[in-house]
Amino acid sequence: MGPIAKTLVLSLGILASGAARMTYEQEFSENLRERNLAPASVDLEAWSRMGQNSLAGTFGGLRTAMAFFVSLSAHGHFQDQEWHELRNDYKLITSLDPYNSFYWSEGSHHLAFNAASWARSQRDQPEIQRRTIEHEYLEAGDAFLEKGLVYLPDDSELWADMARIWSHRLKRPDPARALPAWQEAARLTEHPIYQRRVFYTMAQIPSMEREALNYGIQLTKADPSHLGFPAFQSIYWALFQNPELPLDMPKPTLTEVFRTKEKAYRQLYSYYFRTSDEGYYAGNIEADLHQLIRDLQIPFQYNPFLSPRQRRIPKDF
Amino acid sequence: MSASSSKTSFFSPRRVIIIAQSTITQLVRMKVFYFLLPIAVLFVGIQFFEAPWYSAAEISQPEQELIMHKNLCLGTMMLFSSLFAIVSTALLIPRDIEDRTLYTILCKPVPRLDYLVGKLIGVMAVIAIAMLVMDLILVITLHFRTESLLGLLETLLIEKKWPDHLIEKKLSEVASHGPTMTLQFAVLAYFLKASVVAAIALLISTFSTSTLFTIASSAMIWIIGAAQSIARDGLFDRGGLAEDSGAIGKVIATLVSLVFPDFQLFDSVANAATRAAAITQTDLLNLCGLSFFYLAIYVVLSWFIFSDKEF
Repeated sequence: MGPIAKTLVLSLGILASGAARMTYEQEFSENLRERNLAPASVDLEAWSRMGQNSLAGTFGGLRTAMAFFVSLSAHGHFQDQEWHELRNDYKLITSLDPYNSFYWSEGSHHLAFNAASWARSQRDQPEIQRRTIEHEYLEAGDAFLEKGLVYLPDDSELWADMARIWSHRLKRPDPARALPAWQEAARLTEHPIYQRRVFYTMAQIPSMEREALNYGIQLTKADPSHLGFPAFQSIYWALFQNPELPLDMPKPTLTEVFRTKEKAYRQLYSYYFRTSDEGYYAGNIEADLHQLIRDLQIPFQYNPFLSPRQRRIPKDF
Repeated sequence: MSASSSKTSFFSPRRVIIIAQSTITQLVRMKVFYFLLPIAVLFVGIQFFEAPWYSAAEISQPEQELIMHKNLCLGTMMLFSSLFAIVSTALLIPRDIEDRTLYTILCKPVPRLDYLVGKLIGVMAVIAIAMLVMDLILVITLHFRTESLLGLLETLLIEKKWPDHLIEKKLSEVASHGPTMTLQFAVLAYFLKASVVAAIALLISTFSTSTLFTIASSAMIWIIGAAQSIARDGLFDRGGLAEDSGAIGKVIATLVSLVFPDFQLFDSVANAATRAAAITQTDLLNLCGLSFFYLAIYVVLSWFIFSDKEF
């Protein structure tokens, strides 16, 4: 057989074997993608962001290792507060290794916490501009997590990260946005801390007081240790003071919730300020505080209605 | 001549094993295993490289350290095995011609198919030995790292007053990133990938006139193979670069899909195993079947080219 004929047969052999395997490869590939085992194709935007090293690594099948090395260089952008570059780095990292929740979490944290705090601290900028940029970074952090949750919908830590963005009291808390994320994190892990977070967040949303109380009752029935936490005690107590509750509904006494009146005063004193700072349900705790002040003969400096706010009330007041 | 030819079987596993053994000896004499020393140093060094991981009251992600450890070690294994497969296979036939070994083999009643299969199996065996050694170092270093992290994590979670059942769940989650059977699936996937790369290099070396050409073309196929699925996705309307690229784009995508192997599949299985994801036996069987198909095709085509080649 001559060289041309051989080349022809060789080419036909390669093409025929390619045709024979193509559908099988595609089905196998799609099966792996459906089960979140294979990453989606790297999109055009990510291709254009890749440097030569990343490209070589990606083509060479080292996507996850490249993602790790890009994450190291992204740390440099964080240290230099180059937020735009950092954001691009994390877009690339998550394109390369989309099933690693750590990168989604880290990228979102950099945007929603570090970049947003940086924007807030730019005192030389007008207030409106600072707030706008800060809000943009918060939204960018949230959007980043939403994209990550498309790949990892059952990752409780990503849901919790999203909830933290909208729960942080020193940022721009939005309990209505935080609640579904806390609920999802609690559902996936049944972690008591996430369950309490759901309860606390419900108590911050006006018109959800009844649901919050029902959830609190459900939690304490399943695990009475929740009532050992000061914030839980105060919110639980306040929610029972909702005037919309049925009159015949059994309600716990002050000492059943707080154990002693002294403890009740200390917890409610802090909670009183949190109702105005963080929007927790206030119930009728002002009246409770007045009553406790009389019963315990609270000194002037620890009376929230007469003296400036104290950081905390000592045990031996 | 005719009498001896008629007695010579078309394919003899015994002859193949003898040629494979001589190939192993040939490669060992090239001191290929010396590469394992720096790799061992690298694997042990990675042990002391700490990845940042975040720990708060309700979350803790120490498994990131283990994932990073596995990613770097398996990445090194993949790189080493694939490059070794290309270079060693590309060198074998020219070296046999240079040493005149090829003439002494082919003048005997040894079918050329036996020679090619023996060479390929020899290369695969050396890759397998090297990967086993690297795997052993990986398992040992990962074992110590996992144990140390588990101890640290347990203390941390007890301090944070996590409920017992959640501590147990978290510890078992972290332990699943240690040296498990799933990790071996990644090693197997990379071994299969290197074997296919070796078969491609063998095919090219049967018609190539220079070693450099064989190495360069095999390396290019190795690189394009990692991105072949992008072209194929476009043909099946699953996104990818070819979907909106017009008629010429479609033709190019079709050619790429037909000519080049899909190495992304091997990488996907290996990466999923690195993440301790649920790889099934069916996935492994699919991958092994696909690899066997590639090997069979490339060996048959190599034989077709090599069968009446004159030296």
